[in-house]
Amino acid sequence: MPAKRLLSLVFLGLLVIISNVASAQERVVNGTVKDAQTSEAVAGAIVTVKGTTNSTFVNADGTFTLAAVPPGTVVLEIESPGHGRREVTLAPDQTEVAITMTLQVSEVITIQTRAPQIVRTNLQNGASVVRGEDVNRVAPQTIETALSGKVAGANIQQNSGAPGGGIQMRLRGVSTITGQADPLFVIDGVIISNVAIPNGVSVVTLSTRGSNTTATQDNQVNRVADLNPEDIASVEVLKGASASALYGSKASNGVVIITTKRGRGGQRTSVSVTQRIGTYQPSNKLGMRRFDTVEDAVGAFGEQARMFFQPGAFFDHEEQLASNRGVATETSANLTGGLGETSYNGSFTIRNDPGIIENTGYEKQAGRLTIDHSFGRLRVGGSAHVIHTVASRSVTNNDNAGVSHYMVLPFTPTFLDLSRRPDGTFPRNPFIGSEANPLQTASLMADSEDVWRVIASANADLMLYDEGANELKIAGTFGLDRFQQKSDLLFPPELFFEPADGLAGTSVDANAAVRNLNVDTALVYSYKPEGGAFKSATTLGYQYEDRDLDTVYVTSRNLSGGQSNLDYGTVINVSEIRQRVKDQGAYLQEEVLLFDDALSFLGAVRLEQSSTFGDTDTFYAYPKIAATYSVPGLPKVIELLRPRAAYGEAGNQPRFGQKFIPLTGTGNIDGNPALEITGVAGDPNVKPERQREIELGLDAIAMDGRGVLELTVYQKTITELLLQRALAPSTGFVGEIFNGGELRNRGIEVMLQLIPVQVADFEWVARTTFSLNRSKIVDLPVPAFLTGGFGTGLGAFRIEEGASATQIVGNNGLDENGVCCKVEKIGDTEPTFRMGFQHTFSWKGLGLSLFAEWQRGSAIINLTRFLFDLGQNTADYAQNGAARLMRQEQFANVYVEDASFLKLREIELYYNLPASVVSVLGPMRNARISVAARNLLTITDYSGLDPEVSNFGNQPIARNIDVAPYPPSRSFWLSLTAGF
Amino acid sequence: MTFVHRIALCLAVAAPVGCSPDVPDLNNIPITDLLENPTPSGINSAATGLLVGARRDLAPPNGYVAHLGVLGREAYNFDAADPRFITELLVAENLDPGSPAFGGNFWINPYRNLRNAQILKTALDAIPEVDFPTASKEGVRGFTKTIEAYDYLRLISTRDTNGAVILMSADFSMLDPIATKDAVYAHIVTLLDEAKVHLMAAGETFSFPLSSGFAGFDDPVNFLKFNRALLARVEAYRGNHAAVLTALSESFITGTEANPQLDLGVYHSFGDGSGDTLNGLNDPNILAHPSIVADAEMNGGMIDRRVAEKIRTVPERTVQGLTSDEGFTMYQSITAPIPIIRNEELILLRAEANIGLGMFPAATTDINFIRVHSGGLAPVAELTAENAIDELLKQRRYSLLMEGGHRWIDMRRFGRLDQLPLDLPTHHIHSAFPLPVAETDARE
Repeated sequence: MPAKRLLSLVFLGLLVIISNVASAQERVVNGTVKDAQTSEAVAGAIVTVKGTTNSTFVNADGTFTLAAVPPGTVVLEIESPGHGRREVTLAPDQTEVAITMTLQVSEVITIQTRAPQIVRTNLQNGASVVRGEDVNRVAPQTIETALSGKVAGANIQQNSGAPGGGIQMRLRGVSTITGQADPLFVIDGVIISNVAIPNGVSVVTLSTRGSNTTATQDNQVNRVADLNPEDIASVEVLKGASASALYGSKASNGVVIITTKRGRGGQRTSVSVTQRIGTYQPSNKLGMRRFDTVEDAVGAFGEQARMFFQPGAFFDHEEQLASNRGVATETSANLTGGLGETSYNGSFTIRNDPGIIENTGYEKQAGRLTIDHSFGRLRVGGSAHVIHTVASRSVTNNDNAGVSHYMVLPFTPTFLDLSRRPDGTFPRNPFIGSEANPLQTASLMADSEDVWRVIASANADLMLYDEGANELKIAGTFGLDRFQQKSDLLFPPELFFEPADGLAGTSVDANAAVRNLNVDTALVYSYKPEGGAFKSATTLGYQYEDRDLDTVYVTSRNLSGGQSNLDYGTVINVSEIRQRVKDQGAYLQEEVLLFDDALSFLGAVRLEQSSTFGDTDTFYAYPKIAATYSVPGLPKVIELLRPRAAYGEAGNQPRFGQKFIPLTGTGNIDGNPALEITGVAGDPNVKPERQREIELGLDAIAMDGRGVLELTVYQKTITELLLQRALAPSTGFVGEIFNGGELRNRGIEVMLQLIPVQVADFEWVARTTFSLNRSKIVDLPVPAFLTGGFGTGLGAFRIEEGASATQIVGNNGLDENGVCCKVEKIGDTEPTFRMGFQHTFSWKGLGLSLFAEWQRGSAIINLTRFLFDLGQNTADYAQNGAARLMRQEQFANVYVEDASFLKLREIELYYNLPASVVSVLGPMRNARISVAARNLLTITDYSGLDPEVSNFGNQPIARNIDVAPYPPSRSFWLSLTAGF
Repeated sequence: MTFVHRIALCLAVAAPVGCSPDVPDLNNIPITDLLENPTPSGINSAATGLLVGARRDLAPPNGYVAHLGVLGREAYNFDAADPRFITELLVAENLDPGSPAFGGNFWINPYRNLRNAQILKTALDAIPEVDFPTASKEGVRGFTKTIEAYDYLRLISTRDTNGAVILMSADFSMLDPIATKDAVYAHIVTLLDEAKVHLMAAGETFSFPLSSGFAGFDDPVNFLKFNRALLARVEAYRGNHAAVLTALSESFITGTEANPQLDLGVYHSFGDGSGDTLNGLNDPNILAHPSIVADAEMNGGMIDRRVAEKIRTVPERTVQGLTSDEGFTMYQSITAPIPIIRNEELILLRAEANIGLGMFPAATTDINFIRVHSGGLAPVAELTAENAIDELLKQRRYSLLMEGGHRWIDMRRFGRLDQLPLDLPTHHIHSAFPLPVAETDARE
C-alpha cells in the first residue's frame, strides 16, 4: 500500500477517534456512488463533508463509509476524475445515501484543447458514450465490432466475416455521395488515420477488369481496426455537425473520440490480468444443390457431368472450405497507478484468432504506456501505443477470374469431390474455366496484411494566471500516427488457375506508409466569480494537421520455383499512389453557465484552410451554437429534466486529386513513356461539402437513477455535395467534379435505461437504444445517376432528386410500350429502424449480460444467389432457381432481399469470486471468470450468408452488395481475470 | 513553454500571414503543363500516348476484338460469372446502350484518345521552334492525324449508320454534333490525306519512338505507307474501288510466289513490362465458334491451313445451351501482337476493288494467291460476278479471323448479316452498336 494512502487512512482513523471524543452526536454515513447510466461503481471517487477535510474513497464495489459526520444538515461533495463533481445534501439524521453521478467524458481527457472546458459535452449534443467495460465484454477483435448497436444513431456493420476487421460506421445516415464516408477517429486528442488500403489481390481476381475499375473489392480493412479494445476507457460518439463542428471540414460524418485508460494520482498500483480462450465456428452456410439423377447433372453442367456424376454423392464444399478450427487466445494485462504527482497506465495484449478458412486468421500484439506528471502549474503527459497486427483473409468477394471461393462454388457440382487426396494433391475442377479448386486455393495461397503502428502523443498545459475568479491557461497536444501496412500475397504456380494468364505464380507486395501529424494548441480563459451563479470560459485555439499516404504495389508473376521473393518473377509491375493533405484551422469558443449551472450556452466558430480545397487561401468558417437548461423545482422523483438545442456546421473535404485536371503517365508501350488524359476532369475551384445540422433533445433521470432517458431529434442538410457531372464521352471526358445539390437526413434517437428490479443482491438493468433515419436528395443539379452496383438488371443505387439517397433501383417489368424495362425503386439500404437491447442481471458476484441488435428493413442485392442460380447450383434451384432467373430478365427485385435481422451479438455469464475465496487462491485482490459468445444467434429471412455485407468495402452509398463474401462465424470464449 | 507550444504558436502566428497549405498533384501531371508550357519530352510522350490509347480497349476479353468476334460468330466468351457475354451480345434483341461494358462499349476510349490528339496538336502549336524543329512537328502532326483516322474508323465500324461525333471543339465542355457515317468516312479520308502532307515534310525520322508493332514503318516515309493502307481500307468500306487501288499503290502491298509476306504490316504490340499492357485474348473462356471448322474448305484430307494454324481443340464447355471445344491459337502468348493492318488484307482489298471494277482475272489472281499461300488450298477457276463476293468473303473470313471484327463488318457492308449462323432460335444478330446512354443523356 502506497505511503500516502496509508497516511491518509491513519489520519482518518485519528480523526474518527478525535471527533468521537469531541461529540457523541456525530454519525457514521454509509452510502453508494454509482454511475447514473450504467449503475456501475464509481470507484476511486472522493467523498468529502463540505467545508471539512473529512473525506474517504469509494470502494471498488461502489460503497463508502464516512465516519464523524457532524449532526444537522450537511453537504457531501463527491468528486471523481471521470464523473466530475456533485453535491448531495444529507438530512439531519440521515445515515444512508445512494448517490448517482453522470459520466463526463470531456473531463477524463487530461488535456482538452478542443473539448469544451466547462460545459458537459456528452449531454449537450446527444453524444453517446460507451465505456471500456462495455467495449470489452465479449472479446471483440476490433473496436467498432464492440460498438455495434450500442450507440443510438450509429449504424455499424461489418463488410464480411473475414478476420481482422473491415467495418463501416455510419452516423445518422449518409452524409455524402462521393466523398469520404467514414467518421473521424480521434484517440487521446490525436486524429488518427482510418484509411482502407487494398492489398492488391485484384491483380489475381481481376475484379478491376469490369466496370468497377478501382480496387475496392479487395476486402480491405479500414485501419481503425488496429486499435486495441482493451486499452479503451471510453468511446464518445459525436454524431452530428453540432457536436463536431470543432473538427471542421473533416467532421460531417461524425467524430469518434476514444479515450484510453490513464492512471490517477495517488492511486495504489493495481494490476489486472485477463486470459481468454475461445474458438470460432461458421455460423451459416448457403447450402448447395443435390443431384439425384445424371440427367439433372448433365442439364446443369453439360455432358462432361456424366463422367463425374455418382448417384448419392454429396460433397459439402462449403463445410469443407470453412473447416478450419483452432484455439483463439488472448492474454492481456493492465497496470495502473500513481505515485505522488505522477500517474501511469500501461498494458499489453497478445491475441490470436484463427479464421474458419484454412490459412486465415488474425493476430495482434499491442503495448501501450501513458504517463502524466504535474509540476504544479504545469502538467505534462505522454502516451505511446505500439501495435502489430497480421490479418490473413484469403481470397473472397467479386472476381473476374474464377478464383474467389464463393465465385467458384456456384459452378462446382456437389457430386465432384474436391478434397485433398492422400498424397497431398487436390483434384482439378473441370467445371470452371480457371479449373480452380477452392480447397486447393485456400490451402496453397498465402496472404497477410502486416501492420506495425505507433500512435504517440505528448501534451501539456500550463496555468499562466490563477487569481480568484480568473484563470488563464495554455494547453497543447502533439500527436503522431505512423504505420506501415505491408501486404504480401502469394499464389504459387501449382494453383490450378495460375497458368490461366500464361504466367504461373503471382506474388504481390503492397507497401503502404501512412503518417498523420497533429499539432493542437489552445489558450483558455475561465471566469468563475464567487457564488456560482455565473461561469464562463473562452478558448482560442489553433490546429495544424498533415496527412501523408504512400502506397507502392509490386506484382511479380511467373515465379521461378514458386518463390515469393519479387525477384523470382519474370513479369514485374509497379504502381504507386500518393496522397498528402495539409489542414490548418483556428477556432474561438465561448461557454457560459448561468443560474448555478442550470443554463449553459456554448458558441464556437472554426476557420479552416486545407490543401484539398481548390482555393487554398480562403478560410471556410464552421460555426456552432448550443444550449441546455436543467428544469428547476422538479418533483422529488425526477432528478434531472434537461431540454437541449444545438446548431452546427461541418464539412467533408474533397478527395485528394479532385481539384486537378491531370495527365497520367503510368502507361507505356514497349517501354516508351506515354501521356494521356484520365477521363475525369477535376474542379480547380472545388470546395468542401457543407453540412448544417439542427438538433433538439431531452434528457431525464428519475427514481434514483433507475430510469434514464435520452431523446434526440435532428435534421441535417448537406449542400455543395461533391458530385461528378457526366459529360458526353465524345468530349474525351466522362465526367467532371463539381459542388452542388442538397441531401437531407432527419432522424430520431432514443436511449432508455431502466432498472426494473433492484432488490437486495439482485439487479436487472435494461438499456434499449432506438434510432431511425430518413434521407432525401432534396436538390440534384445533374440528371439522376447510378452509383455502385452492377447495372439496373441486377439492382443498382441511383441518386435521384426527391428520392432516398440509398435507394436501389432496378428493372421492374415492361414499360408502357412493352419494352424491357421500366426502372423503378425496388429497395433501400436504409433500415426502417434499428434497436439495441442490453440486459444485465446480477446477483451477488454472479451476472448475466446479453446484447442483441435488431435491424428492421434495409435491402441487400444478393448476387451470390444470382451466381448460384446461374450455375443451376442453388439448393432450391429445381424448385425456384430457374423461375428466379426467368423473372430476373425483367424484374431485378428477384435478387434484392430484405436484410432485417435480429442478432444476439454478445452473451456473457460471469462470476466475480468472493474476496474470501480469492484470498485463499492466491495473492489476488479480485478474480473473475466468464463464459461468453459473440454472434451466437442470427435470426433473419435473408437467404445469403450474412445480412451484414459489403462487396465494395466502406462506401458512402453502395453498401449491401453481396458477392461471394467471406462466410460469417460465431465465437465462444472462456475468460479469467485476476486483479492484484 | 514547451517545445510543442513554441512550434504551435509559430504556426498560429504564421498562418494568417500567408502560409496557405498547398500540395501539388503527387500522382499525375497537370494538363496545363502540356498545353501552356510544352517540352519536347512532353510532346513525344503524348505522341506515344496515342498508341497506348489506340490499344486500350482492343485486347481485353471484353474488348473490341473479342466482342466483335462474338457478334460476327467467330467466337464465344464462356465466362461463367458474367452471363452478359451471351445474354447481351447473342440473345438480346438489341444491344443495350446503357451497358457500358457491352452495348455502350468502344466509345469512351476512342474519344479519350481523340481528345489526347487535340491536346497534342495544341501543344505542338505552342512549343517554340527552337525547342522542337518544324520537321519534327510535321512528323508528330502526320502521325497524330493518322492515329485519329484509325480511332474514327473503329468508332464508325461499331456505330455504322448510328453515326459518330467528329471532335472539333478545343473546349471539352462544348458538344460537337453527331455526324453521319458518310461524313465520318469523309473526315477520316481528310485526316489521312492531311497526314500525308505533314509526313512528306517530316524529314527522315520521327522525334518519338514508335512501338515494335511499327517495325519497318517507324519513319515518316514508311509510316506513310501504313497511312495509305488504312486509306485503302476506308475507301473499300466506302465502295470507292478506284481509290482503293490508288491508295494501295502507295501502300506497302507486296508478295511474290517465293515470298508472300502475308504478315507484313503494322501491329498493336503488347508487353509484360511494368505499365505496359498484356494481350488478354488468351482468356480460357474465349472459344471459337463451331461454324469456323464446320465451314472450312478441305484440300484432300487436309483442312484449310488457316484453320489448322489458328484453331485448336480444347476441353469441351457448355454454357447457356452453347457448346464449343475449339479455342484460338493466335493469342496464346500474353504479348502476342494484334494486327492493325497487314499485307494479306491489302491483297484481299485489291481483289475486292478489282471485283468491284469488274476486273475478275486480276481479282482471281489475288484470291488464288491467298488460297494457296495462306489456306494451302487449290486455286479456283476465274471468278464471276455471281461467285466473286462469296469467295472474297470466305477468304476474308479465314484470313482475317479474330483480328478485329472483320467478319461482322464485312457481312454488314455486303448486306449479309442474315447469313451469319444463329445458334439458338432465341438469338439475334446485331448490326451496330447504339450511341451509349451517357452520350445521348448528355445531349438532352
